[in-house]
Amino acid sequence: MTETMANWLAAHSTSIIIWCAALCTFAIYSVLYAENKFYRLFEHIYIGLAAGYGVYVTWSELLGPKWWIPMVYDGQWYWVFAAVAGSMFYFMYSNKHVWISRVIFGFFMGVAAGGMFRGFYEVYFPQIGSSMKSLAPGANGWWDTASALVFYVLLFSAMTYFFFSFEHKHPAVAATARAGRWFLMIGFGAIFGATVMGRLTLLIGRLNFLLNDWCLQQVVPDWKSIYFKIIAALVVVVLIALIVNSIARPKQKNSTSSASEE
Amino acid sequence: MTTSTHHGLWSILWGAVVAERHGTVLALLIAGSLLVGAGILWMLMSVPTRYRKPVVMAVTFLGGLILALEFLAGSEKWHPLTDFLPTYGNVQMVIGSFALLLGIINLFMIHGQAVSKRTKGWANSLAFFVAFFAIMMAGFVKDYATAKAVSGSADSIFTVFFEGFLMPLSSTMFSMIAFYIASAAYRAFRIRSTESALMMITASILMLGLVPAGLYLTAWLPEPLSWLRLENLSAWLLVGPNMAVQRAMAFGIAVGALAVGLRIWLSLERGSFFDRQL
Amino acid sequence: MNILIKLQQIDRRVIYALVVVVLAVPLIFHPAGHPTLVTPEVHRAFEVIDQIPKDKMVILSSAWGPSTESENGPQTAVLMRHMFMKGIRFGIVSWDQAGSQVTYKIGTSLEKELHKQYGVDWVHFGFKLLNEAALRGIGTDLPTTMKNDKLGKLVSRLPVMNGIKDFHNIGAVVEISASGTLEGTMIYTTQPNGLSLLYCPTAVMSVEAYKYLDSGQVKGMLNSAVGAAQYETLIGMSDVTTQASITTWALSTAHIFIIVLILLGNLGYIASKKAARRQGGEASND
Repeated sequence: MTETMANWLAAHSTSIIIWCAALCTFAIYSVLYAENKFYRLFEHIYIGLAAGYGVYVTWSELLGPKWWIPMVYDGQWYWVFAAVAGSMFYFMYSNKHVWISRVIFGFFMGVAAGGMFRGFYEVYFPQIGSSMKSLAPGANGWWDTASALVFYVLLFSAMTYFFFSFEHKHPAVAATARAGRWFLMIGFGAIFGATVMGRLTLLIGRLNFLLNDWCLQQVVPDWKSIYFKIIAALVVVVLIALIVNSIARPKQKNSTSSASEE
Repeated sequence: MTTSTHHGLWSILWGAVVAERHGTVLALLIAGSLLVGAGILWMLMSVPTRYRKPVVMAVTFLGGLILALEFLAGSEKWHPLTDFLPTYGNVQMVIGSFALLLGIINLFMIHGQAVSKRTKGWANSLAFFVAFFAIMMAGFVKDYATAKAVSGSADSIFTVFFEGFLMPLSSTMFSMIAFYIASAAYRAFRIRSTESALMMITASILMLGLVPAGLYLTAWLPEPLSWLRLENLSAWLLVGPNMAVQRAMAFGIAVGALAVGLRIWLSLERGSFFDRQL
Repeated sequence: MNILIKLQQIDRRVIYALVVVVLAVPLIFHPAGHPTLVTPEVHRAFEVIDQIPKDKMVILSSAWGPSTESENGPQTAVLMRHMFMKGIRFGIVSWDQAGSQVTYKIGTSLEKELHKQYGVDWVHFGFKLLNEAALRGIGTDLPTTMKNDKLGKLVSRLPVMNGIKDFHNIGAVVEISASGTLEGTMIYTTQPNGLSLLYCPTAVMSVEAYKYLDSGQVKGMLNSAVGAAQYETLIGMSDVTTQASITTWALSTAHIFIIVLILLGNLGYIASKKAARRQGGEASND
């Protein structure tokens, strides 16, 4: 019977996975309409799955091959002390001996901090070096000089804005800092544009799955089918009705919707 | 004794300590080491209050000393610390992995209380436990079951849990931000000053310059004005002004990061976590 | 004017529905194939991988999970495809728990499609806990640092690792990341050993990487799924429809929609302020 079940699962796993994935997607997106129990249930399932998977993969890909197998099967008995050190984390739950957990946390924090010398050298020295741009005309002629000048102006004015060691009283300094603030907006605009692109890409991925994997493979045979046309027409009609309704009726001041407001 | 004999003796001793053992000897060594480890923990528990902070400071400093010395002291020909780092990295990975249960214990305490006291939404907490054990058991059964049919079924079930539940739930949670961005773009993003207008114009040029729409919108511009095409403007913005501004911000952060790193390494940092009574 | 003010009252759920419709249309009706634009940083990334000698290995350092699969998944897939096509050995290490399984799945499906063999053409080192010493160890002693692969086998015994010991045998390191792990790889793996570093970030992280591209610390970059689509064009997939190419087409309408929303929102805001001022003026005249 187990073999029959194994064969059946192997044969139908793709369909099962697609339907489960679609169900999960709709469950999470349901919170966009309003807070509901369906969403809460799947949220808890997600946390449980993530935690359970974390335990499994940490054992199977880290602790098992790097600690248990060398210690028990390869005779490297000294790995026991790693478990002793690891057990120090759990003194966090003791009121009297919580400081012992600080020892092991301190060790890891120290390791990260100890790497800062190399970090500063490897990251920022090349940055400082490449900031010394030549003002001589290059392959693109005077355009290179102009680019270098623009770079220096932007770099120094933005750095002046962040210079808090003295007050920006002198008109030259104040003006440079003000200009730096303007130029920083270019950077923030770039970050905003990139953020929009990144987040929309994630949504496109999910919608692509819903439309081209779930809908096209499991629900309708192709986009020319009558079912899809009916559904699409209904969606457009409902959407227009919602927009007209929103415009025609003033918004309620105390909304009963409990989905979070931005 | 000569120096070479001295070194030879140490390597023999060290070799004897770390030599691989098997069978009863191994079991005895593991048991003995556990006792020694328990003894070390018992000694730590007995440390007087006034010595606790120095212990934490010493361990923090020693933890960072290896990486600091590896960078500051060593040459192309002599680099014992660099050679030691792969092993050091493995040790850190193993010790760090033991922290995995910290979060799990917290989750179990919260949801366990909800289920045992039947508080509102306790069924969700029960679903948490079911999901936790289901995927964990499926994973372990698929790896350790000897019967092929059993491990095969477990493998399929694990794949359904991972690809049918965990992956889509994770992706969907993150993708919801796109809806909030769209809503915020319409209802909250107000261009009230020249700075915000500049930010918005830059964002728009970038957004359009990276996608085909931007290509088609300005493809009609003649060659002398090709620098005004959205894809070229966007590229120039990213490589020119944006790069300069990002570098300026990085320089501002750099010195601060170095200072904070030094303070943590030397245990000079202040704050609620660091000032807590040990 | 009135209509602009009234449009301010639209329920946010209507906006959500509009987002879905605006994105659904290009996802259903999209051009086959890829857009033609390829940015210089993607070109440089392609050249780095294309020129790697056959006796060297490429390390894919993957710090992403299912939450950013739409962005980092196509990047991982296209790089693996290129290296399979060129016969370049590569090893992938995942610093994210769930990412380990996702990247393994991408590798195994490409392996089947391109008739490659695990352990001979590529290896997955599995999930490892990110730490500075391990990053340093990748360049100084890769087999000892990684020790075992995802399936529990010792990596030193796999044919793919023949002759691979340290940075002399590594052609490039590719950082595919959804978080700030680039600096760690740069500090401990590539810079000390003079290795080429390629960066495959999510779009949010990409903007900050241009300073490293300028200084040469990062040799090339694939910016999100858009960068992956451009890379696919370079490896001869311009006529093939992929997730990355569909995403690029859909982003066109999405970005225009967001800009229209911002403009409409601000026009409505200006209109309502004017109306409020007019009403205030009329009230003071009464």
